Amino acid sequence: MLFGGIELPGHPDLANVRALDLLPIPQICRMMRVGVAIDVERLGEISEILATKMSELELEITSYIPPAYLNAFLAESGDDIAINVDSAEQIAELLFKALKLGEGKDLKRTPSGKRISTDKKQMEKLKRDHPVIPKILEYREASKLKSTYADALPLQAKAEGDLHVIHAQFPTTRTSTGRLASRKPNLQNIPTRTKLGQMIRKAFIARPGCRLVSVDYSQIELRLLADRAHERKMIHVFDSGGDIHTETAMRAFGIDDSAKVDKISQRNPCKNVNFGIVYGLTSSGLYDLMAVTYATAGLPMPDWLDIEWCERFIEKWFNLYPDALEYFQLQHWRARRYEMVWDMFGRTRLVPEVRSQLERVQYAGLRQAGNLPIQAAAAGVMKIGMARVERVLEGIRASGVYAEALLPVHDELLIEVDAEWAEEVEEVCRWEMEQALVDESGELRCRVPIKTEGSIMTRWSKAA
Amino acid sequence: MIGRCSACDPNCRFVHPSGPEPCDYLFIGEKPGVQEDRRQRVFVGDAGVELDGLYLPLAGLDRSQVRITNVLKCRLGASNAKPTEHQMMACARYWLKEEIAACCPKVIVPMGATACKLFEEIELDKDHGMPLYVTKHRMSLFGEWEGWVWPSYHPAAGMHQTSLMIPLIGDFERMGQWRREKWEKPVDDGKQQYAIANSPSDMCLNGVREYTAVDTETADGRLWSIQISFYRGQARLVRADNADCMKYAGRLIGESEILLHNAPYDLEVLRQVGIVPGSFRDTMQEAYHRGNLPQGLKALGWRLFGIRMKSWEDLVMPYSRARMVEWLSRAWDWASDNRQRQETQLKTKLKVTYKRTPMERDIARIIKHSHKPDYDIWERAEEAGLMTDELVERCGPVPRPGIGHVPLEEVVEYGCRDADVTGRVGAWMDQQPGVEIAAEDWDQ
Repeated sequence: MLFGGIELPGHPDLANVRALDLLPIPQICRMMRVGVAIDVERLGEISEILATKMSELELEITSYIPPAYLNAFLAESGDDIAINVDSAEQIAELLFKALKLGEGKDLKRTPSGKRISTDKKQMEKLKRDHPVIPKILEYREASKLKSTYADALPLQAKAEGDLHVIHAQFPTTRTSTGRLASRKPNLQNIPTRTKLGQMIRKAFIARPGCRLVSVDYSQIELRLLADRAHERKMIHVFDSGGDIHTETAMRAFGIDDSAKVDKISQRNPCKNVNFGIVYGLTSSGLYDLMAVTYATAGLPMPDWLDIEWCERFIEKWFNLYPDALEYFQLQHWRARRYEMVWDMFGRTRLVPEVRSQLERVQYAGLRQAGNLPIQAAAAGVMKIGMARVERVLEGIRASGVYAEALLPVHDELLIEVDAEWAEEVEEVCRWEMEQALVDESGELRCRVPIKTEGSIMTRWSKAA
Repeated sequence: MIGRCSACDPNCRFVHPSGPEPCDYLFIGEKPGVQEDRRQRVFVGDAGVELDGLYLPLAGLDRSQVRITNVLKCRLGASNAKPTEHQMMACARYWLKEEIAACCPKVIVPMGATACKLFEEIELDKDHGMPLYVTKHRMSLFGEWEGWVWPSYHPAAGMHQTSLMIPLIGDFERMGQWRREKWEKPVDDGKQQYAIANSPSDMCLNGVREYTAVDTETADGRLWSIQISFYRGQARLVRADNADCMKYAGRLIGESEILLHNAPYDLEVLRQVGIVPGSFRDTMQEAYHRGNLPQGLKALGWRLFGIRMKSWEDLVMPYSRARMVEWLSRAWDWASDNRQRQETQLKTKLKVTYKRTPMERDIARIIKHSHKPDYDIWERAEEAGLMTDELVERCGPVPRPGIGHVPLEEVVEYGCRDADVTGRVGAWMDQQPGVEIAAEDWDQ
């Protein structure tokens, strides 16, 4: 039996899931009450930075308008800047009429059917066709961050003394995986990979005299996949404390010395697949991730890297880890047999899609069925970890020291604590979260160790 | 020669319904899709494949037994756009009315939001899979027809948002049971022993206590009342300002495992008055765990027990709006008096007439529109800058929407019903069988 009387039944067990989901509720109530402080001035600066960036991008996007169309665009906008990037109509005009993108492709139309859609999915599909599309996506990201966070957070904050505090809500019944959600505002949606997203995160600050302590489960889904699938090679790597991405690259590319593994072309595809596989990564998804990898490194995409290569690489990954393949196939079988899958805590997800007469609907259902047990298990581990941390924080508060959990963000828990206690709290909370799958007799109920990363900050940023 | 309704485009191609005439079951979709338009037959695209191969068999029906038609008989251009109200009603009045008269179906199954709009009483999200008997007096569109209406999501909705396949499958399975008289729509048992507890003795159990279901009401972010239900159909409301009852309720909650719906909200409210439950369950989470139930209490009450429940907005807004209008009227009186005073002082000197001030005009405009349900008078007043310290000083605090404006007997009925239904849902959950999986298929 784990902390809080939680079991690992390995079959559907709604009573166990009920107990698991009630475990963090007292902490959730506290987090909603305590809230997280924001730096309103900094958000004002960020808003200005984003506005400048949007203007620059607007000019850059305008520069792609072919001269033959420029006057028509200018007449339409009635402004010096020929195009209003916020206008989906004008963007559709630019992309599909002026630049003639997507010709011969099956492009989605808007619900009214009046024009071709320029929604994110469609733009992602076309983004390799013309350099203007990444710019439009960049503009939209900046615009969203500006309106959703930089401009909106100060309005949503409650003045508490000299501080401005955001009290978000954390609904417990919104996701099929059991993960906690965040609303009013959604603080789980701030991008962590982009610089702009990181800027927004840094506007969340510790209260005076306090520090933010972030504890983040490290590769939790991959570790749980190794455990659940009994994937021997992965278990060996995690047990020996090796780097799973480098080890995967050595196996995938037949390299016998870890020093010879090339970070960009060899380790990164492995890292992307390792992380993405539990989310049902597809070949085009891997291609897009690789594009980001190369762009971040400031390198051009190599010619050999195409969708077919990505497809072959995912196949290769499954050949390297055959137990993982077998595990996903088992979930598909369960979905077909029982019209549901379940995670190690007994949480179920119905898979009605398997009854569909349409192959694509069935396929989408099976893909989600394969992912759920691992994602749900990770959510369960997080809930136990949070409850263990809360028990520690209660003890610290009892001695008159300020210590509060603030936010759960996927596998990360953000805690705020009196600065003098920060190091100690970080160490103890990391230990507590790592013990989530240790039962009352002290035995780890997982074939691989659970690890966390921690960091102490005055402003929220990605865990080191 | 086929006639045309007033919404028809001259290039429209008429897509004929399929199935027997007369018929027992008439399924109504929205309008022909690309495939239907091309092949001139209804439901022959992907949605038709799902309807024929998945959903109809669940109800023990097959395509040859049922008639299938659409609200709109033609595609209206190349667009997938939802038809407008005008297009919908024009086509339905021209074609569907006659079709229904000719087919005399026993059951009409409107599939999707557009078809459900033909029936005023139906809210698709709440009423899907809940048969409704419609009499001729209530359905002027369909003339003399009367019979059962079985609202359903559209099969295409399940393809695009596969979580909707769960209610679709459930509804069609239930339709099969209903046809074989193996399922009856839940009916409200009418039990309502609801009352306000004026003293702890009013909360006495007389030995009956199936569960302790708790609900709270707040006003201005503070606890206003606690409602407790001990068994089906019974509940008591305890006012937060009744110290004796609150003490008793606090002790009772502290000693019990209580049932809550959306626990974090109620726990926080109870904590503010120092009440901590012994332990608790959350019926919202339990509905979520089953994966095939709505999570809202109102939807659960309706679908499981046939109980129609008022929403907070329906209960509170008419009264709070009236209070706000009173406040605005006082503000208008003050603004008007103020202007007239100034006019009187100035007129003697300048002999000019004065117009209404912008503040008076804003208030008059807001009061004029205040009867419209979607018109947010508080937001408009805020935008017009009316909630100033000066006006608050002259006219009193701005009355924000709150339960405190509602007559007590209505609050008692509303609050007690929430606690009652929470208890019923908890008891219902306890009776549901667990999920059985062969032991050899458990995780090793």
